[in-house]
Amino acid sequence: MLTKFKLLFFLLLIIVHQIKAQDAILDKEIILNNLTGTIEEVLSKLSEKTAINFTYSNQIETSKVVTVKGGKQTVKSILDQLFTNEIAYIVGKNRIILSLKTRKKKDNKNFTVSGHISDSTNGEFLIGATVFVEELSDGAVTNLYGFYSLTLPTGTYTFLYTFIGYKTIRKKITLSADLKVDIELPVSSTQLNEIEITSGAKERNILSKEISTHKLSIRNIEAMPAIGGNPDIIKSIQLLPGVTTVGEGSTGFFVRGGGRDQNLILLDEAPVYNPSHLLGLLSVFNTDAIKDITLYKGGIPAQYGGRASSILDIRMKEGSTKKLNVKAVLGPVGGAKLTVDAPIRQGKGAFMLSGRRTYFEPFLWALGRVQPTAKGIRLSFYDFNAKVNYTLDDKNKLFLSGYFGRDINRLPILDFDIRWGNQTGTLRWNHLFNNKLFSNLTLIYSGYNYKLDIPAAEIPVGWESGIRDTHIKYDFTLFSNPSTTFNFGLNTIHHRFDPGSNDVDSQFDIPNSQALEHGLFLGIEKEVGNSLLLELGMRWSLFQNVGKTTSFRFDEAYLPIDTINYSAGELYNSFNHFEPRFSARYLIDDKQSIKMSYNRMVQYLHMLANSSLSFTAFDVWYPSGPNIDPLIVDQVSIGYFRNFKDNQFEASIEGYYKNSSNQIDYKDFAQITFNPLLEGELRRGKGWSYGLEFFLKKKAGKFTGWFSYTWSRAFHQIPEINNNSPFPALYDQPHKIATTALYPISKKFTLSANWVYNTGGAITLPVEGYDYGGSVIPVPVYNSRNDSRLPDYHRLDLSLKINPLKNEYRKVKIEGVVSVYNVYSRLNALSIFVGDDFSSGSDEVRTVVNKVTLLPIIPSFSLLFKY
Amino acid sequence: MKKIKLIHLSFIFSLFFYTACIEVIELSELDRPTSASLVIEGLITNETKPHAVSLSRTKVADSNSTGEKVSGAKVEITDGINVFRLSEIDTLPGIYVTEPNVTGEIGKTYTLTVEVDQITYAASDVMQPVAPFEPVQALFEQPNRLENTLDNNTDIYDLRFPHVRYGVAVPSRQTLFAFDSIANGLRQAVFYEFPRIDPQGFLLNFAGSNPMLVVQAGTTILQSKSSLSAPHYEFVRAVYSETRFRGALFDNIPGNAPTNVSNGGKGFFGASAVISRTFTVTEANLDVDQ
Repeated sequence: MLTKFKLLFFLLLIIVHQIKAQDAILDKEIILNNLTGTIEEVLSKLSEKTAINFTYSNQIETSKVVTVKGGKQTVKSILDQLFTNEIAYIVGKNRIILSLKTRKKKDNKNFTVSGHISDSTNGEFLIGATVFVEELSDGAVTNLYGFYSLTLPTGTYTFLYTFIGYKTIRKKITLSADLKVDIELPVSSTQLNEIEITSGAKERNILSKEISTHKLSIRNIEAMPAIGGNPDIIKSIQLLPGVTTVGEGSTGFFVRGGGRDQNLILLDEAPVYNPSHLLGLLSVFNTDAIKDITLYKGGIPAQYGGRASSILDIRMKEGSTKKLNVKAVLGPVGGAKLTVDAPIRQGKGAFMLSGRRTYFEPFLWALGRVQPTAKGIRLSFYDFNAKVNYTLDDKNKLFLSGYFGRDINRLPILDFDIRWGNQTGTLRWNHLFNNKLFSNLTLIYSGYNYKLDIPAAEIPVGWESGIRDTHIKYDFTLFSNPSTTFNFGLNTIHHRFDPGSNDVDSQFDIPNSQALEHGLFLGIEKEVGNSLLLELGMRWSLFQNVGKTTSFRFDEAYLPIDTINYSAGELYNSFNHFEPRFSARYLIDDKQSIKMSYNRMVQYLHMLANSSLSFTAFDVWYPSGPNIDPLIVDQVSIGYFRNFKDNQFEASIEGYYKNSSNQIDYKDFAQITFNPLLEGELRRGKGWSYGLEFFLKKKAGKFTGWFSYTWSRAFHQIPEINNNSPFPALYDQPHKIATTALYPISKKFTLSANWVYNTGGAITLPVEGYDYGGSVIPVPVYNSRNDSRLPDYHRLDLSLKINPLKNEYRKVKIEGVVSVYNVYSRLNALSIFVGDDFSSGSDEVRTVVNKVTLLPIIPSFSLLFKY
Repeated sequence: MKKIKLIHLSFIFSLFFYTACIEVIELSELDRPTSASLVIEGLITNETKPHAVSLSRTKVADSNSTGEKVSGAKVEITDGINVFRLSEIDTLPGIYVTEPNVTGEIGKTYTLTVEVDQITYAASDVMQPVAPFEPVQALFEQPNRLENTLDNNTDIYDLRFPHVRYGVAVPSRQTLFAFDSIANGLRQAVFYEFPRIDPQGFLLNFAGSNPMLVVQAGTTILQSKSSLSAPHYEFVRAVYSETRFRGALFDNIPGNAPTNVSNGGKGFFGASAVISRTFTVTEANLDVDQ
């Protein structure tokens, strides 16, 4: 405990030292003779004497003649003589930016310039594009719908519209009335050379309030090497600092010591409860249908709630309002993909359809012919994304989007058949009340279910589990003035839980139940002076358990003592919590800033999965209720952000500490499926995690990429588990390094690489064993949970993208991707256990230590066709 | 048998264009001194016979040798009224038996006490009634598998049982004996019946061969069924999870098997009601569409 506070203190000390160093420039003492001249002349003289450069906009009056008294004085006192206090001094390295402190004069009217920023090639709105007003050194960022709004005093301003990967548009605008300015940014020809995590202006990472947040572009994800050459969002997320995974080839991920169920994965605002295809080898997100991805690890805005650790906000493409696009991909693992998007009614709207399906069937059929035990095996998935948008008028726009996917895994030799799938639907109405008030009314549906058939049971049995949500949300953004933005709204979710039922004997069913989850939220983003940007947020959440259901009561020994039946619609339990959020950014100068955040997150839904691996076939989603309190997590983060070499390099170091109460774990050998009394199998305790994340990114130039290092720890302490002593979480991996690099060898070939390293995952190894029942394999005896480690994990992936040179006359463009996953074929351990010798084909049972590995070297080739 | 099970595993992965691999490794972490705790394995039933208790010590986790047997202990079983002393068998160190006339009674609580090295260990269990047998024909149907594996011989069958049959009302242990005409000896098959269903017990439960009898029309089978109390069932379930089913993809989080032995002892002392029957396999039993 003491160590982590020391580290945070050390981090703070570095930051404070930086601020002090910058303030020293203003406190620098110089000796001047009496000096008379224009402000411009005095500043020039001062620059000569001190080697400090002064930067200022043409809105600052510098032709005024002033007299500065002679003698020894500080730079600040001289500047104070030149200007009244409407000028702010922003200090950089040997540089002072003079900026107008107040933009609003009492006798000057304010007007609003607002509009949308979109991609000129397809009309897709750009999320997070920057509008920068040169004269004021200030600006705004487009919201999730590409909308921006800025209210400024009358005047003529130079607007810069920028977005990484696009050409900047500079526009002179005279503001004498409210204006609507829609901008279409052309794609930059140098886009392939740029790796982007955050996006916006060059200094966006410095200027924004966002901490512990990563934005990934699809273009970069597609450039990264991937299993079977199949780009994958979740696998890319797993390369980020603070994100760990357990089990190779899994889509489960853990953020800053939080559990797998503590990540809210949203696809167009609809939760996706199981993001896995092929038992986790791929995620359900088809990159051809995705436009934007943001991961919040901390500093989570008030509009998000419901999960304790992170928000992964994924937005689908809207479709081109300009022209028909067709894209087809053939890959060995991801299957065949086809994406079509096109305008509707001359650019009034657009649609996008994207589907994919594996095509293993012929191979499995052939395998079944030569190997009878393979007969009847089926392993496949398909999914389908669709989105349509339509602009009703300048103030109203409709969006309708959905996802449907299904996995089918049938292994007759194991008497095992499992199918699962997610379904989502989002209907959204964008409405502009005026050029400052933006709203969204959204209806959302989300469903997940799986069915497991086990014909080998005494009576062949099927097991089903699932969850369905219906959600309504109304949210508003008020761009009150350039320095203040309000986000507020409310939402209600109706959850229907089907935790588990079987088709043979209802006594093994887990009772169905329902719940209502409501949220009210308000976030205020406020600039205070030129250096400080604050975001204050508050969320109030209310969770109500609703019948019809059967609820059990347990005694102190977790034995059932009472059964209560609730009628349909009966409210029988509720929780409510305030969830404060706070973020702050302090701009040291235009190259560095410090940021901090605090957030409380409350989670009312729990995913129960008593497995030591992160495969997801048997997850049970279950509500908080009379026997399970909601999980409450408090997190504090602090970070130092700095850019180098004209913003070519971005660096940051962040520290965090996270505390959770009502952390759920399971008693030994808990039975989560086929058990109506599963609440009696759960134990509650506390958890805590802390860490430091270092991130360095080269975002421009021929060679681009990033390097990250994370040091982190995660612990749980649960009564009745591990003798009530703290133990490392399953996903506790103290050291993690992830690097990714992109290098265009020529116009035709682009090489990319990933290398990852992390400390081996925590495992529980036996300290001794004993004979029982004549079994050759001894019954293991364990000392402490998760007190041993798997061998360290590392892996190199390479990818070569072949872009045939453009041929103006060829309508179909063909690209190829050669990728090699796990280049040096390191057999990283998935698990280690003591048991029978599975490596030998002998019938003799022999006790050994087994290491299970999953993915050796996997070369692959994919073809991409674009029309 | 093992090969088939390994093929199962590789199928799952090779179909994804990759292959799972299991290799044996040396792990120095396991090579450490043990606590040499007492391990009790014992059972009293409602049969009139000598009831046995085995005493041993814990050993190194990955050892292939048997745990050290504990001799010279004072061992007793009591039902609260009667006390049955157990004597160590001269030729089998660590094995203690009652007199042959001891009979347990359903509903009674039996407590075993063991005194060794001046430490007293105790373990209690309640003898529960046993569920009646299912019809004989059920033994030849799913989930059991009747397979004709010998070339040019359609009369002799392998009758395989899963390690655990799930979904019964009450837990039990079944033991079957039959003469194996191929091996020319007596063959034993043991399996458990558990209430509810543990998925990890089905999926890739590849540790050890499935229990099996070799049968043909006319084979005589001796079948017995023993009840398990709830704690006994929990113990057996945990032992199976840790030994038979460990290493599968859907492994439970590792944990210590519960015990009813006091004072840091391991293992379990149980009390079971037992029923038995003998029957002869008929042509009709073997005429099952598998």
